Amino acid sequence: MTLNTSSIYFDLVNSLRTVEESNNIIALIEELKGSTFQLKKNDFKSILNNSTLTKAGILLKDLLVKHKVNLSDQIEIEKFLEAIRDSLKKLRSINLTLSFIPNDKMLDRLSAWIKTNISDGIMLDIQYEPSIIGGIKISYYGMYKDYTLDKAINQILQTQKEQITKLIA
Amino acid sequence: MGIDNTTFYTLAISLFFLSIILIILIVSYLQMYKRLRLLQKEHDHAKDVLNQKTTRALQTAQNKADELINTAAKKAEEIINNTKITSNELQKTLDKNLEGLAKEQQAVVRKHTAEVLDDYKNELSDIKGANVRFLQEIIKNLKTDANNQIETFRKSLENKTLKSDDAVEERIEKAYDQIKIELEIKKQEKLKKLDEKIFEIVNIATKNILGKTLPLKDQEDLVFKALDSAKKDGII
Repeated sequence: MTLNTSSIYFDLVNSLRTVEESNNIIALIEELKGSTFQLKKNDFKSILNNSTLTKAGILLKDLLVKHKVNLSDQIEIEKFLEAIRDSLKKLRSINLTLSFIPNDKMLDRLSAWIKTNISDGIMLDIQYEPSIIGGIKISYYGMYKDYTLDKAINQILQTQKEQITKLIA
Repeated sequence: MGIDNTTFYTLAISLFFLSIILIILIVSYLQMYKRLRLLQKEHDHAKDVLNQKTTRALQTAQNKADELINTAAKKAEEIINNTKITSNELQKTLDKNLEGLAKEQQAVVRKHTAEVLDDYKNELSDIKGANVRFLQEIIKNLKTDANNQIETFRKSLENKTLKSDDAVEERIEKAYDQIKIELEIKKQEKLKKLDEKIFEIVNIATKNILGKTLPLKDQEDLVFKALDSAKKDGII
């Protein structure tokens, strides 16, 4: 089997949205790589066919199937896993702090926006901070900016401080 | 080498004369020596005679002196005895005289004492009168001085009281102004703190209300609006 690394990378970029998902794949690969030397041929198949697979497991299984990896060939499996891991290392990330925990739909939307407006291969590194009320804090490639409601409210209140105080007093 | 005749005869004559002179000198010396011995003997004799005379004179003088001393001692004893008798008599006479004199003196002293006493009394009376007048004068002066001083003090006190009243009033005004300033500062500080507190409450309340009431859709829209802004700002 000839490994098409570009294709693997493309599949990963399309399948993964967040840094967390990427890290889960890496963790699973590490786990599987260790087990390939110890398990028998059918054991690896049975792991991948397990109905209790995590999202990362399902994604990995889909990739193995899509790229027609011989699950009986331990060396081939290892090479494939290594190629995935190398591709994951190439991925970049953007740090976004939100005031709520985004659901899958929101993650899809965010991921799509990033791919459309910035580039492929950028994973979302999501942080949850309710005190920002709304909006986001962005940190990307050493750049940082606060687009939160908390900051906006503070600015408004500061500029209107005298009037507000007079109104209340 | 031979000596001429003239020289020879001259020398011979000279030697002859010199021999004669030498002989004369020796004879003279011997005569003088004899005379000296004689004189020495006379001198010694005279000395002995003189010593004898001196010893006799001294002995005589000693005897005379002893005799004089004895006589003087006897005389002195007689004089002392006579003197004792005279002293007793003299003492008695002296006592009598002294007694008389003492009596006279007593009389004189009494007389003088009386006179002095009278004079003293008169003088004392005069002094007393003068002192009374002097004291009266002093008291009068003291009284006047005291009145003057009291008057001066009263005036000074009035002035000082007036000045003091003004000073106290001025100090009170200053203190009042100071307190007013301090109160104003404290008031401003309190108001500032109050404003801060109110502002803080408004801030928290606003955020709480907004955070709780903001719908999820609006939250999501805000996220995308923020992303758009970040893109415009060149952050991403």
